[in-house]
Amino acid sequence: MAIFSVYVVNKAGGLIYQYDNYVPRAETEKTFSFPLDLVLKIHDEKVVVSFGQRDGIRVGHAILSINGADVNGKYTVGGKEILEYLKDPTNYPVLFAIGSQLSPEVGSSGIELLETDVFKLHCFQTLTGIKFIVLADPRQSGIDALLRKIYEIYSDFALKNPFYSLEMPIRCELFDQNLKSALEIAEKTGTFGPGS
Amino acid sequence: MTVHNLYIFDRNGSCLHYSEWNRKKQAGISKEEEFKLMYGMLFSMRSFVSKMSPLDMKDGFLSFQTSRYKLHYYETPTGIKLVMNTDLSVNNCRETLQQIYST
Repeated sequence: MAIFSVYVVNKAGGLIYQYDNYVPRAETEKTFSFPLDLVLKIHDEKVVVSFGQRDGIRVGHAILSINGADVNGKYTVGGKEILEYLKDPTNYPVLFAIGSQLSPEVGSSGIELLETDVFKLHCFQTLTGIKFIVLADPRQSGIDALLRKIYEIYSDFALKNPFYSLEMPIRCELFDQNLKSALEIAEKTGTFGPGS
Repeated sequence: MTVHNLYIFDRNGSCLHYSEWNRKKQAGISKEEEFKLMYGMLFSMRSFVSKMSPLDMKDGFLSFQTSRYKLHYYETPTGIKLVMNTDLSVNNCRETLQQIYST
């Protein structure tokens, strides 16, 4: 997926819409035996690696599942607390598997384009102070047209929705659907036709 | 291609060098404050980029542009930061900044 995420920020700087589309290769599975090489801690309702790095698992990665059973924040599906579970050596059978994931956060500014070696962040600010932010692959082209298109979708499906109040989080199904299809078109062709 | 100005910071945030070639608008605050503001912005930008990045990164923040200028950033492993503001026609200043650092 060459477009990683889309964010919409209101005039006050609050996030009103977020859509993440990360590459699945951010997940890795690793088998551990006791004791764990990584130091874990609880951060933001997730169990996250705070120290220690091994084979693609780095600081900031969060636990997605243990032994194939998905975790639910701090607790496993069985209701046990993850950190307690991992401390007890009797819980480590001969093989032990953990999944991992990256966790992001939010920012904003008057910048139009921010470039790093891994992604390009494009920002479009409207006259009313709404900012549309797109995180994409550096090689992806046509993001300017995509930003204008997202603005159009926002005005068509969020602003014209009688139940949507300005500057509030966007919870309109049609907005989601049209945004996703616009992203798919952008990834495939990189340009838009005159009609929607 | 116009170069507006160049800043060099050490790892503690003090400005080691500043030169100006073609700056159209002054910041309206004293030079000292401007250096602190620039350094603070770079520091926040680097930590923002490292948190937002969907994949693990090697070099981190490279440059940003607004509708009027482009800011290029290069950091050495020792913590020396070189910052150059140019107009929008420049594509990649990284080698230039590396040459400036090595001479």
